[in-house]
Amino acid sequence: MAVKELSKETLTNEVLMNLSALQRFAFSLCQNKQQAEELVSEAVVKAFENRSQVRSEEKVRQWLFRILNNLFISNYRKAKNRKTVELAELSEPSFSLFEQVEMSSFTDGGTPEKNFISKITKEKIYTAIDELPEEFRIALVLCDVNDFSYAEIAAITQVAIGTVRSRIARARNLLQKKLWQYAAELGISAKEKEKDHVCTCGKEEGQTINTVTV
Amino acid sequence: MKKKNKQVQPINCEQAVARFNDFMDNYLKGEAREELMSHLSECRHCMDRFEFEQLLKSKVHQLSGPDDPAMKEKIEKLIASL
Repeated sequence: MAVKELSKETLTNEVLMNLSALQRFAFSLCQNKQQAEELVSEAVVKAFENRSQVRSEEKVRQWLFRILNNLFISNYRKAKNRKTVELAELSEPSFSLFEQVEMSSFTDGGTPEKNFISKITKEKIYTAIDELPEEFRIALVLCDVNDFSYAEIAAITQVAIGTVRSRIARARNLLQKKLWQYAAELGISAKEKEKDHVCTCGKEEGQTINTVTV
Repeated sequence: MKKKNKQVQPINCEQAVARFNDFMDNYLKGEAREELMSHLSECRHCMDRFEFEQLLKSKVHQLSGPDDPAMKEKIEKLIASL
């Protein structure tokens, strides 16, 4: 069966509807506003040139992001000092910002954790994300900023879903670590822990089965 | 629909935390999900930590800012020329 070509009108609407998300993604790739704008423009031209290739109108958004990602890899990445994932980052131990802030002396009314979150500015989050290795940054932005599913991110970045899942977990872990560095600027420091949280869940005698209503 | 009580195996805090990402991203299903929910309903520490992780995720999501009118105009002109 012949595939119906995506109309210019439909593609125009899709591009305009997703323009700010594409711009954000492009910026997270290039980390340069001007290059990000050029990249989006090139991706739009490429999309219109290849609109006959789209097999499903439902996947136009995913397809646009994939074009943008591929263009970045072929035309922009080499021009940049790419921060790749280092072995040390792959074996990073799990870091919990919550555990650090919870033990801090940061009390401004309410719990230290919620106060800390409310104090983090957009700029600090941008900076922390920008410092992530490229693979982690891409996965995190597509998932947490642009709301793509793991399967869609796998299609956009052309890696396995398991890889996407692992990159997102590592990205969140590293992001928390970087935001904890920001805590020092707010005058927050960890108190010496009296002891780590000791899990006693399910340890009491006779408490081997929990019951939930589903 | 009639609700039924279902028994779930208890999990510890480490196992619960390891499921947070999948739960936040709607990938945790079936028994694994029920075990985590049961754990969160009983463990205040994990519940607080989970709420914190969710708050942080929503904070990152707020980076999805408004449209840039100048860029929109530029792209509209570009499309018109294609």
